Amino acid sequence: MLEILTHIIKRTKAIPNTSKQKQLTSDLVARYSNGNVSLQRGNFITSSELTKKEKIIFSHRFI
Amino acid sequence: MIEEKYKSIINKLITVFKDAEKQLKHSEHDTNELSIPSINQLRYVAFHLVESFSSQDSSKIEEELNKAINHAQRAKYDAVEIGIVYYLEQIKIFQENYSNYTETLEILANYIEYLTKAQNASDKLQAIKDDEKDREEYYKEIAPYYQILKDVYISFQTSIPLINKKIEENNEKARKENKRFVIGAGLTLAGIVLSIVIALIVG
Repeated sequence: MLEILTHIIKRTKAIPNTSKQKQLTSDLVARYSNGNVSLQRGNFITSSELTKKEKIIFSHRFI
Repeated sequence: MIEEKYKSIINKLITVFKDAEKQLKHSEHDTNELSIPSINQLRYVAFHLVESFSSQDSSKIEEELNKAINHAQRAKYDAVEIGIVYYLEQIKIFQENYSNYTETLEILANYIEYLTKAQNASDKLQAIKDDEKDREEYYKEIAPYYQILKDVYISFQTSIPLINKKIEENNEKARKENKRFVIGAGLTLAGIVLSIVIALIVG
C-alpha cells in the first residue's frame, strides 16, 4: 500500500510483480482449461518461453 | 455431405491432423508441458475448416482446406520442436553436472557420440529457424531427432545412479589411500625421530 502511495506521489509507475503475474496467468488458464490436466496444473509452454529456451540452447556448445 | 472433388484434400487434412494430435500428445507426455503454439495452430485448422464449410465458392473452399492443412502441418512441427528443445535442455543440464567427472566416460562409453547427436540436432533446429520454407519439409528433417534425443536422455538418466555410485566408490578408494599415506608418512616420521633419539642416546 505504502509502495503504491509512493509511486502516486512520485508520479512513477510501479514495476509489476512478475511472480504474482505468473501465478495469475496460471490461475486464469486453469479456470478456462476445460479439463486439460496440463493446463490445470499450469504446465504449458508459450511461444515466447520457447524462444527464450531456444536462445539458451543455441548459444550452448555440446561439443 | 463431402463433395467427391474435395475428398483427397480432406483425407490429407485428416492424416496431417491426426499426426499433429499424436505428436502433440507425445510431446505433452514427455515434457509434461502442453504446447500452446501447437494448440493455436490446431485452432486455426478449425477456423479454416469452418470457413470452407460456410463457403459456396469451390476455389475458396479448396483454398481454406489447404490453409487448414498448412496449419495442421505447422502444429505437428511446433509439437516436435518443443520436444526437441526439452531434450536438448535436459542433455545440457546433464552435461553441466557430469562432464567434469571421468566416471561419466567410464559408465557412458559413447558420451562424446551422444553429445555430437545433441549438437547436430541443435544446429539443425537453428538452421531451420533462420530459414523460411515449408514446415512439412522441416518436420521431415527434424522429426528423427526427437527419438534420437529421447534415447540419449534416457541413457543419461539411467546412468546417473551408476555414475554417482562410481564417484562414491572412487571417493572411498581415495579416502583409504589418503589414510594409508598419512599413516605411512607418520610411521616414517616416527621412525626417523626414534632413530635420531637412539643415535643421540648411544652417541
